[in-house]
Amino acid sequence: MTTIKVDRSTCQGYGNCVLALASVFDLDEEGLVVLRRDDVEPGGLDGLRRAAYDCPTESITFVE
Amino acid sequence: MTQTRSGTELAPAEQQYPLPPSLLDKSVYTDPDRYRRELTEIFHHAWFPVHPSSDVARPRDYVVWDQIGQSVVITRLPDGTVSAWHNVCQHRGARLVNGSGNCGNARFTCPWHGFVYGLDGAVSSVPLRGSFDAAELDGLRAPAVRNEEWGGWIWLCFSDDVPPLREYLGEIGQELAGYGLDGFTTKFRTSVRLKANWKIVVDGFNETWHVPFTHKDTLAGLVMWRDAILKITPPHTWMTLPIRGFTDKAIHNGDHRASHLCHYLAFPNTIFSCFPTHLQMWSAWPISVGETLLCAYEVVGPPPNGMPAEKWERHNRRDWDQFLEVLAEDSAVIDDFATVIGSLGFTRNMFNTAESRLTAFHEEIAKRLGEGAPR
Repeated sequence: MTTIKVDRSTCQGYGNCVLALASVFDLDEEGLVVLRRDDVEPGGLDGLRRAAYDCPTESITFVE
Repeated sequence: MTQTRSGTELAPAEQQYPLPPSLLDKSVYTDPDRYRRELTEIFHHAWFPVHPSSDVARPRDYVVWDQIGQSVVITRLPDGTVSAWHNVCQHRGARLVNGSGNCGNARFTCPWHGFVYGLDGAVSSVPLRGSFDAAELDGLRAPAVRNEEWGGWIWLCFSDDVPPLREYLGEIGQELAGYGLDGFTTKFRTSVRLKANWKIVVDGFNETWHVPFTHKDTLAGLVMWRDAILKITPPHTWMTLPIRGFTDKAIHNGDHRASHLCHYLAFPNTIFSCFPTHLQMWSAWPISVGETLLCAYEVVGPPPNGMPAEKWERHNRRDWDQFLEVLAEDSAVIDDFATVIGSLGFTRNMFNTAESRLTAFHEEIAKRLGEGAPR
């Protein structure tokens, strides 16, 4: 089980995470990141890694 | 200190980004006097690749190269060597040759008064010969242009005071040599006219942290933009960049060329962006202070690991199409400079440490122009 956390106080709404893993990440009406779910199935791990890597403000953390 | 980001081991920051932040006055992109000095002090004292060798593959093949206010005829001589010479008649300066092709009779005739030039640029026939000062005709030729054929490219240099090509290229020449480029083939090419100073164009390709913004849907899927390691080897710069999903699985034998995207700026205006099996090369040719012609090529090696030729062809096409997409994204940003370059709100660039290659590039230019280093 992987647990994901996002920091909405640093998020700037670039949306790279949504491109990387739309099943987990979304942008709300303010344009800031929200989690559709806070974990990811093993098949989504690459997408999660990319979402964290490509977040310019490093607002995504996760524990594998 | 080694940082960890999303499980990826990074190089120490000071190794990754070698130079401190710097400032650069906007006038370096807009001053027409400086632009003219850049042409004479920088472009006339550098080596640059101008055509793939295959453009003049056979004896008597020729091609004309027109950039930076110069026109040069490049020919393949019967002995297999390359000749390059200024494309101007020594009678009254008319243009001699246009286009490209195979010169079957090995003669280029001036369209104005019929002076005839051989494949090597020597004058072989002069109409009304007796009416000229014989001393002026003795040994007359279109002035030769220094050239070398190396790495699958024909390189030109307009000055005698520049060292031979490999010495000029230094470390990046050693790097490029490791790819075996003589066995590569030019598959695709394009050119695009951009409405920005040539240095804005070069700057645009020499850092990676615009990738998650400009290329979030394209290049971000291909390269690990955070993990570029920048190298300053004046006058050139280069960087290694992990390829997503490839570098971590590649066999690491100590040669980054086999596992990374390696990206070289051959000063002043040519970039070789080398994957282990193929590369894209592009040159930014100044047209005016605010316009640049970017000429780009896809150059591929032999099919890797016994891949069937047909499949390799498809990969080549896909790689080129992806490159064109990325180039279009960069071009959109660069072209928009035409709309704001005169803005009173744009006075200077501030480069961060991730833009160390840009700092080094502009320092090199300033040095060659006899200016103080950028702040």
